[in-house]
Amino acid sequence: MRTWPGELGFALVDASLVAAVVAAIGLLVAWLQPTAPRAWARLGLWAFGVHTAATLGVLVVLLALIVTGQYQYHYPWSHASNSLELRFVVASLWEGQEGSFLIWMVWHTLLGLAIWRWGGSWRLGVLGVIATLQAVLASMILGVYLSGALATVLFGAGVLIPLGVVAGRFWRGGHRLETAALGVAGLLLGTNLVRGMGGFGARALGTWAYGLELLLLVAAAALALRRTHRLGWPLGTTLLLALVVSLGWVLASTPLGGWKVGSSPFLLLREALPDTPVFAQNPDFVPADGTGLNPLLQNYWMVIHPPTLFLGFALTLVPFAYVVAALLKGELTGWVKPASPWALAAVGVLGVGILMGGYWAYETLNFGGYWNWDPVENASLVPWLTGVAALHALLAYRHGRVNLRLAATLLVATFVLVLYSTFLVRSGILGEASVHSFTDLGLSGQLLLLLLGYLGFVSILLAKRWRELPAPPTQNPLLSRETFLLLAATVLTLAAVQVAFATSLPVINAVLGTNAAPPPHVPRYYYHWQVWFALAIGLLSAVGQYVFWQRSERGRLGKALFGPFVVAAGLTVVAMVALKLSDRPFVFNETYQLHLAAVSEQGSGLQTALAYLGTALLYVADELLLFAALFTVAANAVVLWRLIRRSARTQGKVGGSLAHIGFGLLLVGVVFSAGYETTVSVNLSPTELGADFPAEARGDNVLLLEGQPKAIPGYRVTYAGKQVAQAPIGPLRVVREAADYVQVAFADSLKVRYRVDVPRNFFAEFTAQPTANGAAPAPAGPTGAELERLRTFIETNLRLIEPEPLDGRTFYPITFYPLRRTAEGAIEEDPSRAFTLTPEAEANEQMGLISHPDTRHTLFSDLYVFVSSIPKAETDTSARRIEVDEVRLRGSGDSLTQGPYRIVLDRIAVVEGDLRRPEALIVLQANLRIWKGEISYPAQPRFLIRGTEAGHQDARIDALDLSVRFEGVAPEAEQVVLLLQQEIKPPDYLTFKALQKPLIGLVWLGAVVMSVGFAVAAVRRSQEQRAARVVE
Amino acid sequence: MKTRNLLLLVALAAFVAVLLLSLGSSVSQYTDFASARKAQGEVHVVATWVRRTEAAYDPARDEFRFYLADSLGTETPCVYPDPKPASFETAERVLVQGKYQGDAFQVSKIQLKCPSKYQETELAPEGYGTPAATPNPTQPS
Repeated sequence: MRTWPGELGFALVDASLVAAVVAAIGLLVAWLQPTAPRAWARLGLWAFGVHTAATLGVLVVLLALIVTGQYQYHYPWSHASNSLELRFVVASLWEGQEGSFLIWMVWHTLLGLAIWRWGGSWRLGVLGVIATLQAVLASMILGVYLSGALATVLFGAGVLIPLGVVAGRFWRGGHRLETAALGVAGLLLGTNLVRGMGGFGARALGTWAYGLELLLLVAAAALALRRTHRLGWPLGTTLLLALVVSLGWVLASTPLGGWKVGSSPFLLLREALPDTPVFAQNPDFVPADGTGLNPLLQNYWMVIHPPTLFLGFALTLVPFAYVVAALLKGELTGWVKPASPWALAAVGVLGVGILMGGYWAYETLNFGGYWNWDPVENASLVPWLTGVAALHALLAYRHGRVNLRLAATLLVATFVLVLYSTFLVRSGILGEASVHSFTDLGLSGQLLLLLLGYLGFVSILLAKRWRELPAPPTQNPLLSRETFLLLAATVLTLAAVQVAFATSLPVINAVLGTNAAPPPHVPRYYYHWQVWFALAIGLLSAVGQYVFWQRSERGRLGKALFGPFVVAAGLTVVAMVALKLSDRPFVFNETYQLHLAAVSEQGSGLQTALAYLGTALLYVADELLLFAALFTVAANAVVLWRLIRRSARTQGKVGGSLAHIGFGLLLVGVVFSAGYETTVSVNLSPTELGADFPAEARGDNVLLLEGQPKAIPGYRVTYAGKQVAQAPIGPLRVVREAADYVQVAFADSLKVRYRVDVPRNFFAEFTAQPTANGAAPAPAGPTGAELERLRTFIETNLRLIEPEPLDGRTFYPITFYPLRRTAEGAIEEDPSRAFTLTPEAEANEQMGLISHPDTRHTLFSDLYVFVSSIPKAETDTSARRIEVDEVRLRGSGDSLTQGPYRIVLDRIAVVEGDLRRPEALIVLQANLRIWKGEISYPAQPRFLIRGTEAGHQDARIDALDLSVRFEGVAPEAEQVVLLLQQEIKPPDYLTFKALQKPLIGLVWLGAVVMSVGFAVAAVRRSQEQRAARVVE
Repeated sequence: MKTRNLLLLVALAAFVAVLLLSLGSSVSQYTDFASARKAQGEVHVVATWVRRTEAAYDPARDEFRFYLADSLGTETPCVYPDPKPASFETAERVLVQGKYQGDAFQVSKIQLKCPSKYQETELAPEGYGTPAATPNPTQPS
């Protein structure tokens, strides 16, 4: 069993942590004290380089463990498996907490390198702040246990004091530092080696520290070689600190208990699951396969969504680092320009990441929509909202030199909210309030410390510098850029506060000890709030863009906005009339009547009046929102057009108007697709449900029996049974070679992957070669030619073999025949417009039904269909029926055809007893071959007789659901009587749900346009920044 | 300047107050079946599945019927107009939202509290997965 890769991993994590600490100290000292020796900066940058290398090294090691299937380790075992495609194997890296922390860190290091290269005069401060977070994140995947008081005492008395003394002496001595560092590191390494040999559990106690020691050795060696650098006291103190920290780890960590610091992805399986009995027998046991990636997540989006989201998270750190660096040093305004492109990139990428998640949820996960106001979704939305608010505040400062306080606060808040989101998702505090949070790894204390630490630190920092930061305007004309930008920032912030507040309900419960349940209808609750913010944003962004570009006085502004206003109002009215919006139920308005009735019955006069007012407002809210969205699209389209026409210089400035157009389109899409969503799966044959079945209790699921059409609104639907593998099939791949069978996998013409377990003797038949001593031929492995032969065999017999879908994926084709009303008023079917949707469902042992929808996209509407239930697994035989046929054969060699089968009786053997002694037990066996199509199946049913008693041993052929009974012998006719017992499965069925989502395409179109807008703006700002540097 | 700050502060306080109120009016406490019977609107009940009873989904009627017992031991029949949620049987607790209609508790939303979701904590000595049952083509007899 190979264990060194994991030890290397441990060591690299450790090196990454210590290097990040050293980098943070070096960089921040150099940043804060320009008079400090340049050695600090060198040390910091050098350590950041080591940190980057170590972090990338961790990634490489973990990836290698996963890709090569090192299942002696817990992380690869619990997240990967042999049969996964490579892209999912890679994706399983970020299925767990440790891997996703790692991805996040890797993005930080790459961004750090970019800052290093292009960060100019800010790079020391920004990198320093980044390094602090990196140190904290590295500790999250460290995986050591600190045990309390004893260790602290030992650590303090035994190490700190002598080291302090030594440090003092060498500080004064100056030149002998290198020797000292070398000596201490060597000593440490030596002790650890002894410790390891002494059987102290080298991995748990010490090995992970080798990385650090190696680092120190390299440092000391490098110093010794390049004495001219004279790093002197800064290096001395820092190295010493690093030594102390690492020695602390070594002494204070115990493998068994204490305070857990981080969760390592490099734990061996036997360390992670020590109580498993198999390890008691065989400590070196390695499972043959991993448990695989959660089937829900085996999807293209799992490959790209998490890394994108983490890149978005990582990018928010950069503007945060600029602000913190600026506040620390007191250079309070210079950061705005270099930080702007980063802030734009952060918001843009985070937005793309969030929307990818939405698209994933909609297209393949069965969440019913793209946004469900789930706490985890909200947790990433809140920083995005504050980020967008920060962009507006930044612009306000850049143009009016006012209110940098707001911009700084919002940028800081955005990053702290990212930390808060991390805390919510990973600490387990959401519990069952969310459908997709990580498993609790017991890191909640550490996560809380991280969150509160940064929150407290930046709060104090902001408070200290508050008065020095440029203040908000004391007087500002109403129609000015700054007013609109600050208003926009305020509205966005309020929207963020509302989402954050409602999302934090589990946290509020935990803090206050209350027991409040979430709102009964979550999307409606959020809608009632957010509709007003969205409305305000729509109107503000329409007017604001004009003010921004023209700085108009009132009269001209009115004239300019008249056109877009008329267009938007006209379109809204047309939509209301043409689509009869007032007749359609708006999803979020459903319960107003009930609410009104309840209030007017019980409430006071004031409450009733308020309820009426609220209801009236909400009734017009969706139309107003539609108008506002169209208004901002129209107004921004005009601005966009003018910017493009004016000059080449203004063409680069279209980012803002593009983003606003995208946002407007997205809002229109949301109003229609969510508000006017309708359920199509309504059973139109109520008699089937029984006369007593109340209409309001009718669910949204429709039962479809195989081959029996059913009418739902607008369609007739049929289900013709689940889809089987379709020829032609791709090449076979051997997945597993067991003692008695070989498992092969292949993809069919629909790219679904299947597996077949082939008995060894299938190959033996091809290649049976007698061995020298005449023993049975050894089980042969499949050769290339054999695989090809097997492939052809499987391809021609797909229906008989019924290969298992490899990932348990099963498709259920449902055909929709659209109904239309003829001129005479009759309803008729239109076969030419029929279409088939094939949603996917899988009965997973652990997780129940995993369902993936299929969607028919049309220009104006999506039909979204998923399977909501399927019959119980085949093990449930209670519903099966058996059909029995009697067959008579005339002795050996006879054959006949019965139904789909051809039955051949090879011979009848007397297995036991003697026919001449009928009083003793006689066992007869019929050696049969039963052919179905091209394949024959052997069957040996037995007939037992003793005197007058008779018994049977049936032969069962699983593949055919057929049992054969040797019923008896009819001596008079010299016939063998067989009973063919054919099991008939109950008709296959499914229930499905179908939703019509109008104009959902606008959501995605809007999202894409908005992201392009952010990208354009980010590129423009970074070019501007580069130009400014060139001028400098 | 001072008055403006004060106004801002008041506005912020009002916003937070409205937030709290809105949550307060739409948030319900968790309750039991006896009080749910008297309640006007929908309530949340934390309950457990009564194991000796059947929990079956009728696809034709689109109804999932089951019995729940709340923390006081009150048992009640429940109807849910959707298929049986995954891992219903293994859930430690069942959170239902709904209201009484006649004698049955009409459930509009189910949340399951499951013991440690998705975490691999058990190791089968043979590794994961068993070979699927497949036909045995042309097996020599």
